[in-house]
Amino acid sequence: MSVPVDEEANPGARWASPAMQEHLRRRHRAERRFRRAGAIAIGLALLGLATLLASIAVNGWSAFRATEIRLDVVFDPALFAGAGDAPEARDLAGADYAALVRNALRAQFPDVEGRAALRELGALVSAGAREELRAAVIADPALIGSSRTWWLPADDEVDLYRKRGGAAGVAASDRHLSDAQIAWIDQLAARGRLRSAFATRFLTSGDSRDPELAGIWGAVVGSFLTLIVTLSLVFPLGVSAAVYLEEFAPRNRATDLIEVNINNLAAVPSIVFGLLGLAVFLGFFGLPRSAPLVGGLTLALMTLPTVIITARVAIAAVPPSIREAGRGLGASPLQVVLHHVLPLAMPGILTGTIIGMARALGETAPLLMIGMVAFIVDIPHSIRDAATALPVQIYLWADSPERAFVEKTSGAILVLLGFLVAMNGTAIWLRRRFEKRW
Amino acid sequence: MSRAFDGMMEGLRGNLLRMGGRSEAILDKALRALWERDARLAQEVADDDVEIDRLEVAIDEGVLKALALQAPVAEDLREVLAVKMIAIDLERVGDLARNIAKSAARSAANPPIPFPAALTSLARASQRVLRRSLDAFSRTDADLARAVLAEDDAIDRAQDEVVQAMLRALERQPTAASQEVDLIMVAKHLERVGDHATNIAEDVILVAEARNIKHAAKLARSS
Amino acid sequence: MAEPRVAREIAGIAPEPARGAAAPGGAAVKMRARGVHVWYGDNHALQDVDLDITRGEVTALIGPSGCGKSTLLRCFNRMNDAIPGCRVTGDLLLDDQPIYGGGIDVEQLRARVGMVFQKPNPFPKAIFDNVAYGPRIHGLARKRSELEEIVERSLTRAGLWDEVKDRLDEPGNALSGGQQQRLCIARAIAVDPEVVLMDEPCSALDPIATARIEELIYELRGRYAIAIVTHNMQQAARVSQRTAFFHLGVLVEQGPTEEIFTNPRVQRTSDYITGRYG
Repeated sequence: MSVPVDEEANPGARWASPAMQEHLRRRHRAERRFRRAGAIAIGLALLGLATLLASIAVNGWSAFRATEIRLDVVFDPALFAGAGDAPEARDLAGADYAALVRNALRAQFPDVEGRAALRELGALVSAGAREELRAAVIADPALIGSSRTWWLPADDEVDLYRKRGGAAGVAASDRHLSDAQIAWIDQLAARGRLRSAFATRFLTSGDSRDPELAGIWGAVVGSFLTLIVTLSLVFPLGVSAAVYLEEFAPRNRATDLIEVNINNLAAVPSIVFGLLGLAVFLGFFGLPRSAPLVGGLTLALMTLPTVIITARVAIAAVPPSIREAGRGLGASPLQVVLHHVLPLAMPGILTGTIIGMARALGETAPLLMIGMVAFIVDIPHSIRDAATALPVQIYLWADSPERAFVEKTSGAILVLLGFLVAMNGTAIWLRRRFEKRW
Repeated sequence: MSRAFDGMMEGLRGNLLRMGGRSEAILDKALRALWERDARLAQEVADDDVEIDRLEVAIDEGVLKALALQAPVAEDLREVLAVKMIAIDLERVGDLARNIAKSAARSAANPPIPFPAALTSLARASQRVLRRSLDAFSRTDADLARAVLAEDDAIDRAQDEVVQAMLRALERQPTAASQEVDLIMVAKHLERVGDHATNIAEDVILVAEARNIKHAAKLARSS
Repeated sequence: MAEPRVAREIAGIAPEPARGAAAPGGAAVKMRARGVHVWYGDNHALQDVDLDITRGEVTALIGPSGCGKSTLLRCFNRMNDAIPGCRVTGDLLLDDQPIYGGGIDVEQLRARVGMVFQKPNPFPKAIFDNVAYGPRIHGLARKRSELEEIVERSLTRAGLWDEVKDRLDEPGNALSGGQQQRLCIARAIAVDPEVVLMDEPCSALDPIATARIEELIYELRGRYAIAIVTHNMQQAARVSQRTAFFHLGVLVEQGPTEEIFTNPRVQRTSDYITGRYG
């Protein structure tokens, strides 16, 4: 771009010419456009993310609260047949706790007559109330003969009714409660016997057909046991494989082949691993279905390639000068790896492992294939017990017809997201902490 | 690598001062041979001079080694160069002492003639400036060096006096011509010794003050 | 190619005689190379080299880039083993024992022949652990107190003790470049090697740090046989007693440093030293 300017007299004039100025302005405009496009893209992405999270949170927030009814429960000794100085546990367990609840309700509404009406009254309280009382008496038989005030869980329809804002929020055809029930609820509320409390049951109990009693604890324990199995397999195997491939394997066709295969395995759809698990672990080895052992093994197969790849990258990032220094002092190749390479690569390896675990935590398809989809009520105690996992639990609840499970599904998603954020946060914190050291 | 260089410098200075001591010694011996008409003493001087030559060769090698291996700069470089230049002057002083000894031997073989007073004072002055210039080097003392430079004119005058006196003596006593000529030559040699002492003093000032004042007067006049 | 050993005692100028030297003509030779060839694949990197590394002396290997001096250095402690496709033939001996060929354990060889690298590479551990690493893995100390002694001795010999004695727990790479290199030297001498190989130890350092390391090398030569590769000729002149000049894989000339730098016999050597090469 030649400019007719006397350069000898004023060497800087070339840059001040109008053509140059226009060029400069065009360049600045282009950069501003680019920056704006980037900001818009990020803004849209954040908007989408916020919408997604907001919709889940709005639906799931209410899962953490449950409606409870305060009743005066009279532990009538007459209901506990054979209760003496040391009643057998079976007598305590077999007592008619439903009657206890009914009596307490009737104490509130003594005017209710007729079987139909009484049934409607009884339906206000959850069936789980009986279990609570049973557990309380077994724990402390001295309760028999006393009278206590108890906050008992309300039925899921009552809970939903309350969460939707009462009669005003729901059309008449949509209501599953009769007018009489609604009247009783309002009266209980007026008497201060209705409250919305933190739903510890959601977090501490296992699955149930009754929505108000269903909790995610079983799924959490199941997921935890599964991940323990996965981690205890993936970490040693993955790190050892990465160390071998990076430090000791000769550079030949065979090693190249292994590397290509590992990279491919990392991209295989997870359901394929589920099929593999079904065929090998359940079919060939006959391990118990739906157990965290099998789920853990299957997820380990799935996560192993990722961990090997990230571990290799972390190991390769250790500067060769450190290895040279170690070898120069007379350390054997194994000593160099154990004393120098692994400690320096550990932050990267841990980060990769945690991210792999976070991914495994959220996988559903392979677990469905190996049968962790059954309806499991009991909390699993070992890796051979039948169990379910969090993502599977979400899937099951999403499938459920009862309306109350909608909020539970979203609540469970929030819990799962919370765990994922915590795990990824730990990965980032670990990486920062180790990076500071060197 | 100052330690290695310092070691080399120590060695060079040691050799140079040894050389200086030698030169002073044989100059003194040659003059005593002259005053005391001792031909045997005069003969020893020739042998003593060999040691000076040997030291000069050693200093040459040492200077070469220091320059090649240590590449000194600034004061270190000036010191190394000064050692080389002073060694040259001292070697010449040795030669001059030998020549004085030869004249002394010849004089001893002939009937004595009285020494002019200027000659004894010239001899003392030459020995004095030589000693002082070496002291100035040993202590890197620029002031002492300048004192040496100041004496140069007096030495020149003393030499002139001796020459004049001997020229007159040649007219009066032609039979003692050989002795008289010898004394003239001794005076010339002693004046040369003074010049070499001046050179040494100028080298000391170069080391101490990084100023080259050689031929200063002449250069000033011609510019 | 036997090089003439010329004993020169120059009155009053000879350096303090090196310990362990039996006589100027027959000093204790620690490592010998005879007829050494090195190939990297098809590249004949080093041809027919004969060289001695002697106790009490610093031997400098000089020459332009790619001339093979580092290659030869790395043969002495078999660091070339790690390079795929590298082939070494000829005789390399430590105390008359061949170092290739299975007679010597490679890891023990590297404890007896230590190395300091071009770029300081302390381990990202505490200063104490850096120096203690070698003695630990070779089992040179039975108790913690012995280890502490070794660490203090090594750091003192490397001229670093006073600067770090109050912060032995701090990481090695928190030190300055010159201090790091002295730490690497301390680390190398902690196992009490017989030979110390230095591959351009000062090229990554500033002039003051370089001067300190040169002083250190000057002091250490009494105790170890030192071989130093350097592309800085003045450094070779200052620091070494013997110099070997390499060019395109050939050992062109070797001899006492003073001779090489005042009167080299081969024209190529003279061209290189005076800077007329290239």
